[in-house]
Amino acid sequence: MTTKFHKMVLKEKHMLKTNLETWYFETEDWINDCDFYKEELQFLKEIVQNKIQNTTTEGQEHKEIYRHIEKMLVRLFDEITKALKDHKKQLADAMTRKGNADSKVYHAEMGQKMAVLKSGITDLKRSIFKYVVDNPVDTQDAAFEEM
Amino acid sequence: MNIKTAYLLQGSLETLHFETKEWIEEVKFWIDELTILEDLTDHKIAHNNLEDQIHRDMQLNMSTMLDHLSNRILHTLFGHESFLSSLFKVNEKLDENEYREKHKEIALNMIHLKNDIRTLKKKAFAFLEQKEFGLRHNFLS
Repeated sequence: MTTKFHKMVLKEKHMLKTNLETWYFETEDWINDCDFYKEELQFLKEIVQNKIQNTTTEGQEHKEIYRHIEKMLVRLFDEITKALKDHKKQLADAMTRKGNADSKVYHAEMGQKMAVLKSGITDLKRSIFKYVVDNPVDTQDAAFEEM
Repeated sequence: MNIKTAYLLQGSLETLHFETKEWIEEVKFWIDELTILEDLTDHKIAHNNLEDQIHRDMQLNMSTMLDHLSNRILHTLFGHESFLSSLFKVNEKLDENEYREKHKEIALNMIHLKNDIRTLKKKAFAFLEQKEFGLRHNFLS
């Protein structure tokens, strides 16, 4: 276990000592984060899409990055957002029942998922930035100009 | 202040120190992202005087934010991280108010900053995606 992971667990542990209302707020915050990630990745996908070529090696690299973005977007839309919305509803139900035993376990799981997701999105964006730097925009590039 | 931030402020010195290091990484990453967006903005071609003015507005927004992050925010965060780090070595009982107040001030700034960065990025996405530039974008407040 790395020191960073150990401390992340420490911070998450601190958050797990709080109440349902704070977890509910944090879950809404995560949903907002995911909505913004989707917006960012859609934009970055457009950039890569405009660079795709069919036959060259460079074209293969474009396609590879494009597939990674697509995969992450599907995950964000289909898996994470749905899980967060279910968790938010479960927290709202728990607030009316005044019990938080299951909520704590679910919230800990969601916290871990969000940490992994954030790290994955950061890595993906870094690879896209590297791609953008390695493939500078040509001012004569009609595809970009037409964006 | 939102309830999550308020609760995190009650964390241990180690937790606050870790959060500060997370903020530093976050700000460094924002700088990388905005630098790329600034580069894309620089390459966008204006076709008339109005588009040229809109282009300049976006460039000014980007460079102002990058300057703010690089010269002011990072400087503050490095100072705070270094201060918190030094407290680990102090043996006598600490006056917690001093570092918790400073951490609170920075935490609130980070919330505003995160919103400002998102607003700026959304403007940049809209600007870069436009075939025709349309209306002028507002300057950052």
